Amino acid sequence: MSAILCPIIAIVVNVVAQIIAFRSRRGTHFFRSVVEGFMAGAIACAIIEIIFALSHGFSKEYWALVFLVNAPIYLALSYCTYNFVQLGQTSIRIRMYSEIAAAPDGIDIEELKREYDDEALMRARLKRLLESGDIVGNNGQYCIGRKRFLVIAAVLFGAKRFLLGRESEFEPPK
Amino acid sequence: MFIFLSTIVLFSACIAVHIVIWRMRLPKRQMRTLFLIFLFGFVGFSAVSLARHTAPLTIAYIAIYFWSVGLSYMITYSAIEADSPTLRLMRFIGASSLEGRSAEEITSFIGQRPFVSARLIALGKSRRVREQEGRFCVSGYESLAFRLILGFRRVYGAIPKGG
Repeated sequence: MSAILCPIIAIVVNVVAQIIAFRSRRGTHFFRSVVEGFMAGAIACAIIEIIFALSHGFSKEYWALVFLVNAPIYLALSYCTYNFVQLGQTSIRIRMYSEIAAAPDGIDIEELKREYDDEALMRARLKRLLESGDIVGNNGQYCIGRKRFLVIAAVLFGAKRFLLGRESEFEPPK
Repeated sequence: MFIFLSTIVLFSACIAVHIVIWRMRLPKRQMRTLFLIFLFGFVGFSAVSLARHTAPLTIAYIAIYFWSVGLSYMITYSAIEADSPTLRLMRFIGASSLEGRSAEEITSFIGQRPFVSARLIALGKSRRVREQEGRFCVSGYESLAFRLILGFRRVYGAIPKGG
């Protein structure tokens, strides 16, 4: 068996485990299912690597292949599949498109705007952030709870400034 | 080691081309341009590798490595191209004093950033949907990329409606 199959088999195990875990909980605890799927895939990857090593020996090339090639491929594919599912869950553009495509005569613009209005969108995000502890609410005032999203935001907004020359799509380019 | 180094060099070269193009002039269809940079980079690399009699299995390995890293970058880039409401909101609250932001401030902040309208305009610009007598309809064939994303998501279960 070629080592190339290791990350591919691992990602298949990852996705199947995720789907089984998510469906068995009737569509709740999405992120937990993602973590469980990732762990199942990683275990599958380790088992295949050991089988591969037993037949080919634990050489320097073998360790280079495991840590510099197969492990990054598995991590990157896991990141891709996670985001691929997330797009269908949270991307406004894709979800609006899915509703428009599902209606044979199209969808009424006002109806779509009622369903996807900016305030409702922000309320939903605010609720999620409050539930996860990323934002803390007190007497109508909202403060930062956990700082993990601030770190991600700092990196992404830095990249925006560098590549696009602005921090937001609502700002004109500098 | 050859697979690792080849992929790193190829990926770095594509990123360098991407940065140079973006700094010179921002492409109108950013994601498509980014994909083409990766595609041409990989096709060029494969042609050179085949001419130098590199084993096809090694090229296949590099292909999987390169595209998995390339797709990861493209996914991350989508968050750079368009604003994320969640990150924007976190940054707005994070930029406040210790007292935080009031509900009124947040409402006013949202009013200045019409995320939903921006996405609708983007759909229209990409010619995925068209406006017809007060209704939005799919323009031409349904997008394959969107169908793939939604089809994959449906395997996990029903998709809730609304924002």
